[in-house]
Parts: sequence; C-alpha cells; structure tokens
Amino acid sequence: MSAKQSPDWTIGPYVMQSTLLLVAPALFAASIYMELGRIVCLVKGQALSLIRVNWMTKIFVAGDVLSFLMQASGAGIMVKGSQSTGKGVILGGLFVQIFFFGFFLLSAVIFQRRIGSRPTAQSVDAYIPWRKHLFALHASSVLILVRSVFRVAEYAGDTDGVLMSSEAFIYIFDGLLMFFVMVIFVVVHPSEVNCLLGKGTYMTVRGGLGVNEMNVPV
Amino acid sequence: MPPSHSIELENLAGRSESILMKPGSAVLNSLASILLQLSYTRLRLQSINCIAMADTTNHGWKAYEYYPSMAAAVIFVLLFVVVTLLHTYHLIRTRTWFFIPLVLGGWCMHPSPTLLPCLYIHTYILTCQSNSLDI
Repeated sequence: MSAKQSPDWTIGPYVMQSTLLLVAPALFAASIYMELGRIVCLVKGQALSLIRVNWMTKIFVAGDVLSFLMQASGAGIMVKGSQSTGKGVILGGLFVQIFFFGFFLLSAVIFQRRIGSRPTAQSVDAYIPWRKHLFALHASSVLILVRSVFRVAEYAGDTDGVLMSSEAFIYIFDGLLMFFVMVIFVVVHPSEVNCLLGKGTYMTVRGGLGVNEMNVPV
Repeated sequence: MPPSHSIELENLAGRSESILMKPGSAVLNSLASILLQLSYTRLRLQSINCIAMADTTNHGWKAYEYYPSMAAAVIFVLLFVVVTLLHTYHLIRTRTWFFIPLVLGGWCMHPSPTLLPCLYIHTYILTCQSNSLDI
C-alpha cells in the first residue's frame, strides 16, 4: 500500500474541526459581550457607561458576528480557493476581533473606574457581587485577546510547510487559554447576575459545583 | 526489526500488563492502556526512523517530538469535555440563556484537531510499517 492508496481519510473532518477551533472564541466573545450590559443594568449604572446600554450589546455582538463570519469564510476560502486570500480574510477577521475586544475591555475598565468614583446605591450594596463578575470579564477578555494575537502570529507567518510539531504546540497553547476562560466562567457563573436582575431563580454556587435557589428581595 | 527494538517492546508489554492487573479503578486501567498505545506508537515511529535513515532519506518524522503532543492532546480533550459538560449543566439548570454561545463554543473545541492528525498519522505509520518492516 502506498501513500497514493490512502483514501480521502481525514482532510474533510480535519479542516472542519480546525475551523471550529478557530471560531470558537468568537462564540465565547458573544456571551461575554452580553454579560457586560447585564452587569451595568444590575448596578443601575446606565448613565455611567461609555456607550448607551441599549446600543452596547448590539454594537459588540455585531462586531463579533462580523469577525466570526470573516474567519469562517476565510477558512473556507483557504480550502476551496487560494490560500493567500483565505489567510488574508482570516487575518482580517482576527484583527476585527482584536479591535472589538480591545474596545470592550476599555469600556469595562472605564465603567469600573467611573462606578468607583461615583458609586450608585446598588454598587455599594454588599450583597451585589458585581466586582467579581466584572473581574471575570476582564480576565477572560485579556485571555481571548492574547489568544487572538497568537493566532495572528500563526497566520501571518509562513505555515506552508507541514510543521506538525509546531502546529500542535500552537493549538495547545490556544486551547489552554480558552480552557481557562471556560473555567473562569464556571466558577463565576453569570447566573448570579441573572438572578439578581430578577430574570432567574437558580444560581451557581460552590465554584460551579452546585446550584442554589435564590429569592431576590424586591 | 533489529533485536534491541523487539526486546524493548516486550519489556514495555510486560510492564504495562502488570499495571493493568493491579487492583484499582477503571480510570487507571484506561489511562494505562492509553499510555501503552502511546509507547507502542513511539517505538514504531523510532523503528521507522531507523529504517528511513538506512534509506538515506529522512521522511521528516521526528518521533520524539511527536510523542508528547499526542498525550497533551488527549489530556486537553478530556479537560474540555469536563468543563463543557459542567457549563451545559449550569446553562440548563439556571436558565441563563445568554450563555448559549459560550457552551456552543465549548463543544466546538472537542475533539481537538491535534488529536485527529495524531490518529491519522498513527494509522498511516501502522500501515506503512507493515510493509516496510518485513525484512
């Protein structure tokens, strides 16, 4: 049996899986963007945020959808069309993601500083742990930013050779950062924010290992 | 196959059998069997390398660089499965619907593409070996 005889073994699923791995953090980003708006509403800090809360989620999620589409189509072009065009589109999608995440991190930090200097009644309330959730947002944003920069480095360099060992290394690095993002959100699950907003009744406790019912005093 | 390699294989087989027979949980057994498979792969890759060098063409496989990345990929997939299952449970239990994209992203990360090329190359090496090693 020679190499020519190997059937169309795993190139299809492999490409699909590596595309999914590329765009997964864009999905993380969508959830993260939605959480900031909810935290702002929780501490009734609508006046203090950089962008109007109604628009905030929409702008960020729109940018994230754009980056997701660019990355996915870039991956498709890489398979079906010319490699360099596909790489360029993927790089564009990654830059869009970096831009919007940087903007998001900026908004979150500015909001935190403004609330620190002009606290609302809810923000000094002891039983609203908004700081914890905001820190979770900061940490995961930084992790996803770092990961996007790694991916930019990977796609901007020469990856034309079959450098299996170094590719695996980059994937694992990327995956490890995304694993930390997921762990952060298991421990600091936004169900608490949801409950405190009055939109749910159960929240995650004990570092993600249990669920408690919460009765929000109105 | 050079005699030293076959001795190594037998030693490994004997050692791993004793691991598998120890009383313990099923998890330990499956981990041991995974390690056994990995060590077989490593030995096969090394034998291919030897023969390739006799051919004066190195086919570009570096056995020792390959071995750790497969173990890391397996661990990585396990970690992601656990975390994503936790997230899915919490999503449904607490009904925090806006976290659906995160859970979907978590499911996208499994199985890892580092695993797929490992598996495919493993198969390729095995089929290659069966031809090139009957000396």
